[in-house]
Amino acid sequence: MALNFQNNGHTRLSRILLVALLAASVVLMTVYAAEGQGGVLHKLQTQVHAVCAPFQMVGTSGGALAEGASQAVGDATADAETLSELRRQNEELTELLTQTEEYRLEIERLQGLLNLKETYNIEGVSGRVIGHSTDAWNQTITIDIGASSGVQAGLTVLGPSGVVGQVVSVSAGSSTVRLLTDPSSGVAAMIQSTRAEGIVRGSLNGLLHLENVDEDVAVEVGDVVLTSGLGGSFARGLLIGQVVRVTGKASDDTRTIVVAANEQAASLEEVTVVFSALSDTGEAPAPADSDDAGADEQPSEDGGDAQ
Amino acid sequence: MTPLAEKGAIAVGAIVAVLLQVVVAPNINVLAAAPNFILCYVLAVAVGNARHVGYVMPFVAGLVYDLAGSGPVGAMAFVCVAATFLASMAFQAFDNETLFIPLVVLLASCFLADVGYGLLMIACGAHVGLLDALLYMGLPCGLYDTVLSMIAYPLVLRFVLRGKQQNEMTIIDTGID
Repeated sequence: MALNFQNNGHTRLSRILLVALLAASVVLMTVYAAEGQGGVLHKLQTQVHAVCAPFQMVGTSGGALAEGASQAVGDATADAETLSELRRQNEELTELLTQTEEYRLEIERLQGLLNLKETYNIEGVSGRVIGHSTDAWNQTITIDIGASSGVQAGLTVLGPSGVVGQVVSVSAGSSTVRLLTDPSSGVAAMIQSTRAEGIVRGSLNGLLHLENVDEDVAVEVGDVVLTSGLGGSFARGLLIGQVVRVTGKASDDTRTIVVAANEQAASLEEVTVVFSALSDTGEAPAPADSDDAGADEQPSEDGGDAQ
Repeated sequence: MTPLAEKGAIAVGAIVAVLLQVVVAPNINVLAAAPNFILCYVLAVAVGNARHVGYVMPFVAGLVYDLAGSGPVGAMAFVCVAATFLASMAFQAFDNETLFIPLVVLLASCFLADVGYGLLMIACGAHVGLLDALLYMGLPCGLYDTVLSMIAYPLVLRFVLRGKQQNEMTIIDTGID
């Protein structure tokens, strides 16, 4: 009997604790959602990211080693057919490289002749990716450069072939970058060929969707999509990706346009944080911390004003 | 094992789970699914220690998950505490001293927890549809976490709880209680 009373008391205390902790969780969520990026919980989250960064670096190195070992095993066991296939691919790539170099020279000549204002001198700092998001719901990476290198929240981040995301929080020695593929990301964009503007948004399945494009604009697979610079969150004229799928036709308001992202988070190793992208006339893009017509992301304020 | 030693062992296990989440989890994603070592550990302890379940460790561990990630702070803490309660209650209600029940409870708890976390993300303003959240995150992550929790469960019984559940069974069977 005494044991029963003891158990009942323990159970009652346990239930009270359960309710209290659930209530505390709800309060925390409410405060987090209500406070701005410069709120206490957001700042605490940034500090924890900074503490976790060295640990993530260890994990990333381990992951790279495992990947390298797997690749080495694959190479060592490659058969003659694979080798001949690789030789064929090498020849194709060499040919493609030559062709690309021709295009590059041609573009340089044309730019010189037309004095295009869209020619930018990008100033920035490069950093190494030292960690990825610890949860499945957020597509973020951690890089090994932070406020001490001049990085500020809101700055555009470039991968090897174009825009990959935006700095959302900064600590002294590391920064967190929200990738374009994150469902919370949004960037004002334009289609290069038609100059039609829209918004590129991320999604849970890792695809980028080009939305808010005028219904009468024809969009073709292969169209290049660039940042439009509207709103100022992202520098103008930077490559986002190419249209890979268009479901529906022009004048169809249910049309879906899928854009292939430049880089997958897993393959990103080094990125460049863009401080400024100056045009020939010296015109700088609008400050990155201003409200973006298309972007939902509100960068952290603890990094100060972006360029 | 004294209660203090048991709490210490549970805390050490939680620290290991946090380290695994920060260091290992980001590098072992399978497509869109990322493992949640913290949730798996919390559920394994909840099922393994169902009769004396505690809620502080799940709350703290979930909070660390929230702070180390980029989601809303408090969401995983809520899910861990709620899942601990549900898993322990379900285990006590259906336990028949076979391995089947803990596995079923772990499976159901993992899926419920991942779907619940998705709902909280949407409630906190994530720009995703309910169906997308279920298809692309809830189900794959739930499956991944189920596998991990089924691996974690015997490890927790062996190294953290040191066969406590089996001892309790023996005491109940012999009528000492």
